[in-house]
Amino acid sequence: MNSIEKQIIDLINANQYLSEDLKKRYIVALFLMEYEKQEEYLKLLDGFTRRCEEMSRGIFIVHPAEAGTMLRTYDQAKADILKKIGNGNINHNQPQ
Amino acid sequence: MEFNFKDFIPGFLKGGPEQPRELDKTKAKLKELSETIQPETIGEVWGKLRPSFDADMEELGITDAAKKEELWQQVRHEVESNQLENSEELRNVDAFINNSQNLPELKKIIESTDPKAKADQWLKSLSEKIPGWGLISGGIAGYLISWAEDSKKDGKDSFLGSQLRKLASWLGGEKEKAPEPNEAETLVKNLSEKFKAKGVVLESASLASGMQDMLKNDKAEALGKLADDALAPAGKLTKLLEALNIHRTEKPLELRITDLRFQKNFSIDQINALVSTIKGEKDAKFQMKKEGLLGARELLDAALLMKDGKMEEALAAFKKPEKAV
Repeated sequence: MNSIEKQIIDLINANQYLSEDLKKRYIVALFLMEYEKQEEYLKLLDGFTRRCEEMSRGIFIVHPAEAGTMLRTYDQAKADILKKIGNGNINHNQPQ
Repeated sequence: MEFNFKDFIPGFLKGGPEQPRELDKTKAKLKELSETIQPETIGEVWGKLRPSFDADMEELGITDAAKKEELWQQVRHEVESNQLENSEELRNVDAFINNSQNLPELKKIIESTDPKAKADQWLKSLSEKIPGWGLISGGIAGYLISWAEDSKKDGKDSFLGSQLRKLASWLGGEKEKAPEPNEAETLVKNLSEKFKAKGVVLESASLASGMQDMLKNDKAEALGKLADDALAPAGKLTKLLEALNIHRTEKPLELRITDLRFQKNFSIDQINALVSTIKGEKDAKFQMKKEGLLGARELLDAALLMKDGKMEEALAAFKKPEKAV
């Protein structure tokens, strides 16, 4: 394994925000690339890693164009949480 | 910074009639914060939000501290994860791996005369680099299929998706499943038939491959028009080259030509000759176009002659319009 491959695999594996499926996909993709492409790939993954670090420090960046996506995102997050409350057999007030 | 928290937060707060149970206090506080908080300090939302979340939990009758903490972490984690999934940085990574131009090894396997053996060889090299991976070939096939699923467009396999499925099938992931016909293959097939009807045979589908590359990058409309234009008496390949020019303005001409996969049938010297010829043509292009002398047919003739190794004749054929100018 060359040093770029190692750096990329370490970056991917250390990322707590990536699902296992995505981690494997990104690693498989790495081995379908040539060395020059790997360098570019590393830069992109490095950019994402920095974004994750910012996120963990609470820095949100939302572009106006993404507002619609974010609407659904927050709705989804909320729905998931409410569902989890429901599934947890937690005794809460009845609706209405 | 381009940020407007309150642009999207009301959607989170709204909730539908089918969801009568809401985190009302959390939402009310979020709404209030959204009107005052600055993007650089948006992380503070969590600290300011917590008391309202606790109030909601109380109202919902959730008193268990561990359960509350779990739900709170879920609120944060889901919002963070979803934000990252929608981040430009991750989209860049996805776009990169979803462009098969960046995956030459995949292309080599697909185009190999014995793809199954080539795929096994690839897996072997993978397991040498990451010990243990060779043991999970089925697992890798699964990851490839899941990747193909995610890269679907309008419910249909993308060009890359169909390639990933092929690789997965050679690794034993899918049993002889007929590849889903994709838009690129259908359109290129139609286009090739139209060319054929005009007596023009695209040898080894080398140009068709170039068209597929265009299609997988959302240039279906341009190619659809091209397919229609293929019945026109002249300008067929000119249009193709123009379409490629529009598509890949950021790429050097050499790469565009390589994309057309001339290298599959032509030597490097031949490609270079073609590229330099086309480059030489570039300056004269507008003039030739104006004069109606930019010969698509001559280009195709030249390409076919080149394939047969008749370089001098090929170049002569290709330069014909220029001479006419």
